[in-house]
Amino acid sequence: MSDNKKSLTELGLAPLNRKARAMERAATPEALEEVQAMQTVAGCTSSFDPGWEVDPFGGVASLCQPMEADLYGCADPCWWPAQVPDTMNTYPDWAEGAPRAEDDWRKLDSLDPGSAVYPGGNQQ
Amino acid sequence: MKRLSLTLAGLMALAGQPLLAAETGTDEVREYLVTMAHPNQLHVIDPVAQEIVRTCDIEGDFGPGTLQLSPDNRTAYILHDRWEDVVGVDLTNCDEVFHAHGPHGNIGAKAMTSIAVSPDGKRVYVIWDRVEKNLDHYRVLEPQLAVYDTSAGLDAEPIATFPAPRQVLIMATGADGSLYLAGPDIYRMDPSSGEIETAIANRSWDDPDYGDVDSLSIWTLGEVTNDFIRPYAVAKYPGTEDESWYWGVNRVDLTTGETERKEIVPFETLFYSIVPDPNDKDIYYGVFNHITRIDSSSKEAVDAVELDHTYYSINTSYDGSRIYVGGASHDIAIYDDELNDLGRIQLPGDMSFSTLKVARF
Repeated sequence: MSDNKKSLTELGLAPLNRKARAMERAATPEALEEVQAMQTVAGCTSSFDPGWEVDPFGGVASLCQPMEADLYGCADPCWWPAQVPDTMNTYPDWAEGAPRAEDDWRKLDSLDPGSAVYPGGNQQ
Repeated sequence: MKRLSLTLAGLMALAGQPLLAAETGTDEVREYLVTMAHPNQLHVIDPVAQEIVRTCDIEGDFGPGTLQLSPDNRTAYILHDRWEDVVGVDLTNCDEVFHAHGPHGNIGAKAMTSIAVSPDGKRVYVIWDRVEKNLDHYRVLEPQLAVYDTSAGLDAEPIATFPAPRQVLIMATGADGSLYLAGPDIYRMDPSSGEIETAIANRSWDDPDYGDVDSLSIWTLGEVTNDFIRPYAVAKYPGTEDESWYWGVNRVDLTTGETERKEIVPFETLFYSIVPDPNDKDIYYGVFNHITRIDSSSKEAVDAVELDHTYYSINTSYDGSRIYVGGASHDIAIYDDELNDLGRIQLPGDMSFSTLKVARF
């Protein structure tokens, strides 16, 4: 059985909140056959890629280098919305005035989740 | 037509550089690199002089910067403004000649690198991933292939729409008008009817000797050899003591429609994009933190050069003598076909997800 067809528990993942438990309950074997991990993840969906911590070989040589070269490549497609503010939906102006991440990284602010601009443009 | 502004840098570049061949009144066909970069600029670059020839400010914000060229290479169609607009720009003068907006009313829409131009240049195809935004809930809608008339101007609406498979990213068109879509499998669609079939099986590749196929299909490459290329990684004999991992390529010959899927080299380094050598279809070049020359006939990485930073997107000159790498940061690197460093072209902003296209006009 491929990893795509295993339940979360079989993959060693433990649901920690109500939503995750609901997902686990819903994941019947039949449903798992229909739903597979995306081959290419973009657009604020869950990413199964290793992050900037470890590369696919378990080392660091095949990480994006330096991370500034990869910064907008991750922020623009909402690749890792938990690690990088996404400019696609939630923080559209995060990179304003900083066209070169390698030179302009000091201009990139940390963000208060309460300042997010949600789809539709409303300040929450 | 809408006139876009030339930036100061672009004007200075124009003043100091030869004009585009089209403007010199000569028949000389010249090669250019075309890419998008932060914050919202389209760059036309002379790779021999290693200079920016023209910079166009494109109204709206960056993202994703996916580009396709018209058949005469003079117009670039760009996914832009946070993945919600399609903009056609005349590369010879920065005029905006086409514009379509994906979202309508409470229907949100974003195009995830899915754009292609018909071989006659009359149609542009886009897949919109859509969501209905209601007051108390959102409802995910089925992805939609939208067909636009490229002569529709700056407020273009689709002339036809068809249901599209989920998880499709890059697309290309064949000489016969077929539209190829890279999703879980490579699909072939008739864009006049929406009829669709599997051209190359990936997820539905049912071979017990192979594991699940994984692909990263973000960059629309292959225009130099008129191929549609999608690299993949796969385990052979998974779960056995003979398990071994390979890079492979899905390849559609866009002239003939012939398809191919083959492993080309062991999975020992990471590639974000791979293109064939225009002079030898057994040879491929891949890029990430290295440029690697791959001989697919022997399944060997025959040469490699370490790069000073990550590049996402690789391409070659039409004569195969130069290799271009871009995307990610703010410089395009040029190497010759023996992987000797020929120089860098600095851009004012990062290219991020952008395509690095080679144009001739």
